[in-house]
Amino acid sequence: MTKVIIGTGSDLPERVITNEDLEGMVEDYDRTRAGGLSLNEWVMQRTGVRERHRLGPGEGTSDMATRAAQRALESAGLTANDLDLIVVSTVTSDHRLPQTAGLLQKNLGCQCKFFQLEHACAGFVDAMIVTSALMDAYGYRTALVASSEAGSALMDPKRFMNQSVFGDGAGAVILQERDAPGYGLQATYTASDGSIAEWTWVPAGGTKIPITPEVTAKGLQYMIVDFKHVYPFAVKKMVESTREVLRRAGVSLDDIDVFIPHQTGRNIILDAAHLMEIPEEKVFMNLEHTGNTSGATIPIAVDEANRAGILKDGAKVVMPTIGAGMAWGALYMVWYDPKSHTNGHHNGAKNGS
Amino acid sequence: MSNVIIGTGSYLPEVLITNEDVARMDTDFDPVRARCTVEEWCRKKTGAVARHYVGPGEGSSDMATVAAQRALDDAGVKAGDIDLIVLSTVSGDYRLPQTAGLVQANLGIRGKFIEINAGCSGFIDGLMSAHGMMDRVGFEHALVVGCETMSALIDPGDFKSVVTFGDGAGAVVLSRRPGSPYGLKTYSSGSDGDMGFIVWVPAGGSKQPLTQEALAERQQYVKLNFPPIGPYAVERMMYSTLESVKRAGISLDDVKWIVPHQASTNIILEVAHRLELPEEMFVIIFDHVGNTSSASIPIALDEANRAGRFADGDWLVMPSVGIGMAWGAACLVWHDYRSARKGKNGKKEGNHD
Repeated sequence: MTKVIIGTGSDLPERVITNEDLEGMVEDYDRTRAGGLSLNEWVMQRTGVRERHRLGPGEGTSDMATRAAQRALESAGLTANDLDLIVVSTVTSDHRLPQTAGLLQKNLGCQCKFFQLEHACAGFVDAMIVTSALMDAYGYRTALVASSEAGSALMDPKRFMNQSVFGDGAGAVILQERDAPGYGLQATYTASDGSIAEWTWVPAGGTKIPITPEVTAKGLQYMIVDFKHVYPFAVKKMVESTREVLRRAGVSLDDIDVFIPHQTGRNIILDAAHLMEIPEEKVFMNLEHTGNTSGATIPIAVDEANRAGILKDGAKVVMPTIGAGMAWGALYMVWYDPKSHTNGHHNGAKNGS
Repeated sequence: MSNVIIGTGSYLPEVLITNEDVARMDTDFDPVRARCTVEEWCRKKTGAVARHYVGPGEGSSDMATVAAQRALDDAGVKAGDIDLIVLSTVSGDYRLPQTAGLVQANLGIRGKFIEINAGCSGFIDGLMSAHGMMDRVGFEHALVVGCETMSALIDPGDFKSVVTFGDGAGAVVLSRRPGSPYGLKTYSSGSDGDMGFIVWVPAGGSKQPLTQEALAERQQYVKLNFPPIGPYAVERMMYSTLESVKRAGISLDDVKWIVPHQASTNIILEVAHRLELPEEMFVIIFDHVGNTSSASIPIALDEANRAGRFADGDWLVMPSVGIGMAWGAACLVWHDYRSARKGKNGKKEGNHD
């Protein structure tokens, strides 16, 4: 048996913020310091994010996750009751508690077991690895793996850098055990290094620095990213993760059909691709209209690529990532198109709880 | 299915809050309406005598580091041999990075870390995840940790929260021993997201950010709808105990010890009576620790282990219920690793030293 993706879905909230909008909103973008460039020109020369989506008032990550999950279920031809397991990755739950995964379960109206990982950009890759292990160990046959992030909840509205890089969104896939040798999840790689954890930091809002009026006045509830360190690290770890997962799979770089990297920024992705001599046309990028949606980037990109017909049956796909923690890793999959396997049936087993 | 506990450790922070201390606090306890003192109320309703709180500047990662180091020492395993950390908490030091990464860095561990956002059922979810990942990915030594700073999440004016919860951390070292008669055998676990709001912390997430208004309304604190919690906890702990025992192919008579989540002494005793089991079979530490959420089972396990209560070959069941809502139990065969090491004339058991 192998684990194949039989459905994909994603959600980008309706509100769109363009670079022009952003330049009017932030307080620290200075055209003179930027060599006369508009914010749009500056950003397009670097991360390449033209616009990003933002949650509307009263919306949370569970709402996006629910829409993405429903689309994934629909594309798999399943209903929520067919799910045995839900694994969600997010660092921006609706509320401090309960978990967004539980609200997703509630919204879908199903009873299966859920897990929530407190993981950011590397969250989807880690969630797939954890899900796969749980399926093997406990007999869950059909799982929903989702990541939903509202980076906007962690960003200073007045500062352009994070505002320009990050967007809100959710992506989901349905992972199912199938008798499809050679298809599906073939190799994984994941690693962490907490000794450089401070490179992405949200000081307040945990137990060490509770939120108080003094703390919010200092802006300590917002994310601080050490871009100088993160940039070269991201390039290096994207390359390392790709090479390692392919080594484990026994597949060469030349055999890969589609690269779907974490959408961390066009410059980082292209630097990594050039180092590995991967032709740009094999690299799937959608960050121009999404921004970096943290753990949600890969499942959103997979959904967009899938719906665009880019992921053909048998396509060899690599998904490398890097994120807060720090954490990095990659998935290697052979794409399974259920329509090409008409004798395949998708009768998910019932609740394993 | 044979990952064996070969070390336990726990830590309770130094600040001790007795019932007398609580009586002096400015809470909503009304002795006239209650017709008793705080001490009498606690003894009658929950069994609480004292609980521990973190000191200034101390957080979940600090407690987890000490507990984990004690578990490593007990196991005779070096930090460098740990290739997986699975940590559960709902009260991390910071919004980001994860507490699991801080523990990894503090101990000098290079292995992968996973952080699970789960409360009182978190240690069982952590064991399930670690166990599955060890079997599938081949990690040899895993550290499974539960750590909570509940004092930061409770409203200091809410008497019931103050007397119920405490801070602490617990950890175990798991060793992969394929084919061993010892170790973790079965689980029964599930989630009920539709009941998610019976225990919740409204603000501090993407749907409800921490604004001045939210702080003024005390929305940063845990809200407990106590009446439905007790019956749900008793019923789910009973169910998961019976189900995990059944899955292990044994009967309740074969079980020597129940190490339950320390929801309250009264809830635990209710489970004992309803299962018609002697109270002495239950490890109860709630009186001096309080409910430490995901830390409660590993702390109880460590205290009973260090007191020499478990014998080689004893069947243990660890049932839990918590926020989400979520519930689950693990069933294991205890390995007396200390005697095993001594008993072989210094010839050390296992491959971990």
